[in-house]
Amino acid sequence: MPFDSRPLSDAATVFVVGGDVRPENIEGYRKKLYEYCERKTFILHVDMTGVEHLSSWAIGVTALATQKIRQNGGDLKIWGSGDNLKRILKFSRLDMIIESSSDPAPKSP
Amino acid sequence: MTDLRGEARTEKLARFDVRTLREISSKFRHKSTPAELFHIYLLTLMGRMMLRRAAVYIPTADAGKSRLFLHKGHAAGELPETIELLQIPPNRRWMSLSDILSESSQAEIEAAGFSNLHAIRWKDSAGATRGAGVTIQDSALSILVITGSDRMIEPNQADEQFLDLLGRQAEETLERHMGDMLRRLVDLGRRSDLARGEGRQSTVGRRTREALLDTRNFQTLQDIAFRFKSGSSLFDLFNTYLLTIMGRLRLKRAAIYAATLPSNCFRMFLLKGRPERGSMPDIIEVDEMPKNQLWVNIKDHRELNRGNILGRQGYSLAWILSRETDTPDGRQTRADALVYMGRDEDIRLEAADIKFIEILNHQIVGMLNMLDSFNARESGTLWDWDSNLSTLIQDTPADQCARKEHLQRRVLFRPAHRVGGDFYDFHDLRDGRQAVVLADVVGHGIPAAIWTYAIREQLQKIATSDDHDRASRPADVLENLNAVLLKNQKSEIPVSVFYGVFDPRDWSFTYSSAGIDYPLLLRAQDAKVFELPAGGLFLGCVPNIRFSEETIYLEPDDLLILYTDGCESAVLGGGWRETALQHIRRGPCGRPVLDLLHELLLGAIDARPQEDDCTAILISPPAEIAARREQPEPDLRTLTIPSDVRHLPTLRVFIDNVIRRLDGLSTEDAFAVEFTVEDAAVNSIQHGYEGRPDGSVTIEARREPDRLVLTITDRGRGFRYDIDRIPRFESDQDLYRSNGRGLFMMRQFMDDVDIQSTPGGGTVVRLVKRLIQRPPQRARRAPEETGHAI
Repeated sequence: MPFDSRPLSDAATVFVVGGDVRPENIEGYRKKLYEYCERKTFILHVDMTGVEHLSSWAIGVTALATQKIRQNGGDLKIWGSGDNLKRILKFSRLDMIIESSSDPAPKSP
Repeated sequence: MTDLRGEARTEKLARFDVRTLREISSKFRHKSTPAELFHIYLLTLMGRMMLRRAAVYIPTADAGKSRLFLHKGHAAGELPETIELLQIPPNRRWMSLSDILSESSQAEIEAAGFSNLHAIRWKDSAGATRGAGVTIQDSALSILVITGSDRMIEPNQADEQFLDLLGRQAEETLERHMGDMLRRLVDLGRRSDLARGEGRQSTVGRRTREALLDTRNFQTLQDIAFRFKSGSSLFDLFNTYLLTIMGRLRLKRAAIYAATLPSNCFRMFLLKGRPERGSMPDIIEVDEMPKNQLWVNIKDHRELNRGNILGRQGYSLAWILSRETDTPDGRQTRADALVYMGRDEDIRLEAADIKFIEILNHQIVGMLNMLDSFNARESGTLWDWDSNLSTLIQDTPADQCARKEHLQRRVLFRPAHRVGGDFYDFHDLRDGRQAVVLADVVGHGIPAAIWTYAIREQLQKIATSDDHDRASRPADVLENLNAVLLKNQKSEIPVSVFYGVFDPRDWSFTYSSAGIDYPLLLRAQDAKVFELPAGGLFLGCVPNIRFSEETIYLEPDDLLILYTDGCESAVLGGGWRETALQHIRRGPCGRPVLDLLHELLLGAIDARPQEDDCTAILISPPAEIAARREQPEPDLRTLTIPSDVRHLPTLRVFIDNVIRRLDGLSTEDAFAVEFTVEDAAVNSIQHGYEGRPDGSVTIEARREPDRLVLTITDRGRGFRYDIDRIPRFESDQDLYRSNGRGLFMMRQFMDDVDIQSTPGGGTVVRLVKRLIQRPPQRARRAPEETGHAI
């Protein structure tokens, strides 16, 4: 299901993106992402498994969300990135500020 | 204790009532006639209140009377056809007969075993509350429900509440769906002011006559009205009409002569039953139409029966089917048809028969008026109309083969009914261009047929107008057609339309689609099947919709297939495409490939059970005229989309098509192209037009020997482009930026990027991706996996 979440603890959750983020659904992505950014010392694990396309608009949203969450003492990490997503992160230089991995997102305890 | 038990019972009953009312509400919604509605109403009421009998009386022309419409259960005696009212039922509460009825009616009703009544109020479409008013005039339009049982009926509060809610549901259903129908039934009673001896035409304000229609007639007429609406031609209509009259009057023969030109000539339209001797004349000339007559005995009116030719064939009565029309000389009655009736003995019409036929005529005249309103041809005759409807059949023969100078085509047309909702057309435009139309109107029968006719007329008008350029812009044509359809108040039927224009000068095919999904392009050179981007919204439902428009360039032996959803499974499934590709790969083998594919598709369609209209058009430019192309552009495709992100899926299919046709583009490069083109188009929409959907973005894809060149153009606000001002995303401050990455990433992904933009002058983004050089491919090769491609 797109834009779902799976809490890991009070201070961490997995945000499951579930599919490509394009202009048609960018508002839902932005709204959900910014919800977590307001929390203090919160770790947001963004599960990008299956995501092939992240528009430059969505990349900008992700960069800003990372900045906000870090300002609140938390962090944002990307999991499950495939080849295309890695290319997007690289060419957008988002990989310079966000830690990403092709491993699956952490599971609930 | 007793009270507590009583309360518990009441509560249980109330819960039960809620469930019942919910179910009934749903049942009411699915009823289409007052008879069906009251059938359910009476049965529900009888079940809930444990009643033995119930009946519905509806208003009559006489304000102080109501007429029996429907009754259920076993009446102890015969219910009176009409009852006289003293005063108005003020609400839905249970009342005794003496509250409402005259003494004589009360006695008749009581004798039949009924003891109570309540009223259903009904607000008609004009907005006035009918019935439950304060004067006796209003009572003429209230509906009375009379109930009875062998025991004393003593309704409690829950019963009253149930009755109130049930009544409200019935009232809502009447208001929403069938108030007009009920009012028409009431009005028909009022207007049926006929003399017994001769059928003089009704005039407003003349004395009202005693209601003569019985319940059975009402229901028959309702059924017939629905059968009229589902007919597929005027012959169907009049066939039903004649058979109904023959059954009702027990006639042995009946014939209709329809008006034609000159106006005193009536031509044989339909004949039922066998004339007494020999055959009927083809033409009847009427010197002078009897004035102000509905029906006549033809023995007394020789002008309708020259030389007693019809009398000798066993006909004795004639009914004049006429309509009032506005003419320069004022409003006049025009005879549409003469209906002759006969049986072996004399026909003696009872007043109820006359009324029955008058209502039947009223219904058929209503259908003719509806047809006229679509046709906007006031002077049309039945013959005009039936030829128009027949055109839909005759102009779209089962299968058509044609070959214009520049374009071969085959058409498969399998309507599910005699008159289908699918149609196709070809229009010759200026400079040898040809427009191709494929459309699918939802539904069948006359409503779909008249809508089909109106759309064809409109498209014909556009194609033959002096504005030739307009007819060559498919998106404009569809937008214009949508506006025309929406102007018509009767527009409730969604329409799918594909409109394409083939230009023989450069073999371009420019098209737009409203609801016709993914036409197929079989490329002969590549032996690949491409699903072309299409599938905009239906026409006739939403105002101001816009469409994308694509131009492709056909090549020798390419095959374009347009199809309606009725044959989608045949075209897309069952291996037809793979077989078609094999034939295309082999090339001509004694028979034109188009003929082979036409036969194959025909077989695939006929092998499936047909549930919907099924139409497919196959178009192919013949190889032998390839040399005559003036400006061949085989490696170019152009798509124009409205500046609305909802059209991005069309762009994605387009780009997918472009990429899959290319050799020499790696997976990584293909992804780079997909990403960058979409991002550039989104930039045009988001920044160029600032989200306004009234602009357009054009994407051109051109394959050059060693590279792919993509150009994205908009006419938005533009900007002052300075390459040195694009962030490099090296500093921490830049890396966290939420904007500016689009242009930066374009340069990362593509080999060359050129941007031309000026404030107020729009933007042109030119993207280049170099192709890996590979050995030239063979002209024809083995079929590959089907996918989106050029």
